[in-house]
Order: sequence, then structure tokens, then C-alpha cells
Amino acid sequence: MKRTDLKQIIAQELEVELEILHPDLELSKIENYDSVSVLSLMLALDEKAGIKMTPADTRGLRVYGDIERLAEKQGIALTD
Amino acid sequence: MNTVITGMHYCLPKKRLTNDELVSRFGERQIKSIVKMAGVQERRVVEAGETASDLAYLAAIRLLAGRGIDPKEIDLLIFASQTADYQIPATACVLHGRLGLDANCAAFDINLGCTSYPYSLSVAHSMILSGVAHKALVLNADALTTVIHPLDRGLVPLHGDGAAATLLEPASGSGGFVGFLLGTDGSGYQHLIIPASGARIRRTDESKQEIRDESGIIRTKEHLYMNGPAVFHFSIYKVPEVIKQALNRFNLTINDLDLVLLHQANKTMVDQIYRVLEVPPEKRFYFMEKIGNLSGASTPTLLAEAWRQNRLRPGTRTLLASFGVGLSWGVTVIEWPDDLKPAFTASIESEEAS
Repeated sequence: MKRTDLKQIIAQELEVELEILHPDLELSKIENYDSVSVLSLMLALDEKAGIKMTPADTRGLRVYGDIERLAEKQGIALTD
Repeated sequence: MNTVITGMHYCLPKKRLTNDELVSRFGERQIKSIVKMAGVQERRVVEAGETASDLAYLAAIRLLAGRGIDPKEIDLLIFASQTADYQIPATACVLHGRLGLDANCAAFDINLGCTSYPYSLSVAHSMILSGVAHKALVLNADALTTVIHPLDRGLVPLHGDGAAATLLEPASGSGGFVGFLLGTDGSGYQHLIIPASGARIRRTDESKQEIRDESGIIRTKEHLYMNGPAVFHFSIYKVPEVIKQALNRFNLTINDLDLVLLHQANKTMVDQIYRVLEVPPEKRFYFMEKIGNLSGASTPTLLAEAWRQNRLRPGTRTLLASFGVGLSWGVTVIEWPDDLKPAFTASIESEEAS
């Protein structure tokens, strides 16, 4: 999967510009990132990228890079 | 032999809680986010002193009067709720007295939330089939807003209060229940809980202290807590699986159903379950936008409203699936009899409880 495609999904869900999504970006700094949007993200990542996010995974998300690492952990290689 | 639902009615409190009011309480961004996910614009909430059983009483008394049934004919009363009037006695006993039911009428509570409808139907169905009862009145009611902290920005926007009454009788001809599938995952009991609400954690000054969690939600240990991600995950993955399991057990497919009714937890969740099960749009039905998630009253109110909107027809099949606190789930399929009565269309509005 292309890294930009993953970013596109997340940018759309969180209503942010794709360009701001860099590995060290703290998700809590995103205005629309809250306890509700994380559920939408759970759904969108599964539907559009095949990434399964468990409740424990959602608690572990701190920075954008954590989502990419979750994808790679599930065998979804991200290409540039 | 089978049993059939011969009448339904529901009742909602008069007081409305709109999104505009919630914007001033929680801020525009939070409400925009939760409205986008849950699809709830307005909820009905009880006034101080009004209880779930008051709503159940009104739904029941109007249904009995509308169907021309003498309350003395009822020989089984089930009150299913998580917001009972008292810890002791069972609220069913209180309602038995208020409704003027006969001394030979069994009355008891079932303590279940969102899944209470298929569970209570299966109990009433079984008691009729075994000859213990002949005419059952099943009341599913909840006033969850009384146990949600008013500053819990995760739960307040989702929930409303309400009650539904269902009459169940032996089938005289066609129609009835195709089957029930009930289940539980008790390892998840802590995901929806009022911690200080019984013997395990006693109510003390400490349990009344407000807590602000990492997402900014405020509550005390005497208020309802929901682990949102855990409940959401359970609902979107486990529920489609158990519905498929039920259909397999009943030798049915989605094609054999005319209507698929799901617990109205939130619209995104319901849509996802519909999508996974490939339920076509004409077999879907929603009733949450103006009332919210009614917990145990959600599924029966949805069914009663479908009836009122002429979505139930003689000879058709309706699947009901409820899921939530426990964690638990219940699925049933109903075949409507050829002599299905028209919907009971009395007022659904509450009035001052008597």
C-alpha cells in the first residue's frame, strides 16, 4: 500500500491536510482527534486499508507513526 | 405451538434535549464530531422524579386499553431494565399494582440493558409454551439519562429515555418466532458499568467524587462508564458474526428476511453491521435521529415504530438483533401472522405519571 494512500484515509477522517501527517506528529495535537474520531478511524482503517485496530491499539496511539507501525505489524508494507 | 406478538406500544418522555443545548454544554466541535458518528439530533429525557417504569406504565395501560384487554387477563409481567425504581423490590411488582393485574399473574424483573428485548421475549415465549403463562406483558424500559453524568460528553449526546410494551400470546394460526440466539461475553462486563451501584463497590463520599479521564470525560463512580473503543469493536465485529450464526441456525439468509432491525446504538455502527451483512437499503430501518439510543427500550421501540410505519406485513419475516452491556447479544426472527393486526397508533407522548 502506498504511504500516501494511508495518509489520505487518515487525513480525510480527521479533516486535516495530508502534508501535516509526519511520523512524529502527536495525534492529540490534531483538533479533530478525540474519543469519537478514533472510532471512525478504527472503521476507516479496516474498510479502506485492511488494518485491524483493537481497543488496546487505540490506547497505544500517540503519534502518527504509530499508525504506520500498526499497518506494518499486520504485514501491510507501506511504499513511498 | 408458537407465540405471537399481538400488540405493541411505546412511550417517550416529553422533555427534549437538542444538539443546540449540547453545543452550549460541550462545545461545537465535540457535538459536531459525535453527531456525525451517531446521527442523533435530539433525545427525549425524563424530568426529575419521572422514571423508566412511569413510561412503561403509560405504554402498557394504553396498549391494554387500545387492544380491549382487561388487565386481569395478563398472567405474566416482565419488566426488563437497568434503571429500576428500587433495588428491592422488583419494579415489575410495583407495576403489577399500578396496572391492577391479577394475583395469579407472575411478575419479575430482568436486569439487562440493550439486549433485554430478545432475552425477555424468549423468556415470555418459553413460559407460554410450557403452559405457565397464557398472556404476557413484556415491558422494556430505561432512563439511562438518570445514571449518566451530565458532563459526560461521550454518553450524554448518545442516549435518550423510553419504554415499550409488548403483548405476547399463543399463536392461533400462522406466525411466531423462528428461533432465538442469545449469548454473552462476560469477560467484557467492565466495558459498560456503573462501578458503585451494588454490593461490590459501596456508595461512599469517595464514589461521589468527579473524575476527569484522559479524553476529558467527567463522571463519578456512581455514573455509567463506557469503554467506547471496546464496545465499538465488539459491535462492529462480533454482532455481524452472531447474526450470521443465528441465520445459519434458523436455516435462513438475508434474502429470506423482509426487515432487519438492529439495536439503535449509533448510526455509523448500525450502517457498518448492515454493510457487512449486505442488507439491502429496502430492508433497513432506523429510528434514533430524534430519540437517541434508548438502551433496553431501543429495539422494541424500533419494532413498534416499524409497525406504525406499516413496515410489518402479514407473512413477512423480521430479524431483530440487540447487543451491548454484558457484553451480550440476542437475535430473533419473527414471522408475522396472516391475521396481523394494524399497528396501535395511540399517542407515544408521556404525560404526568400517575
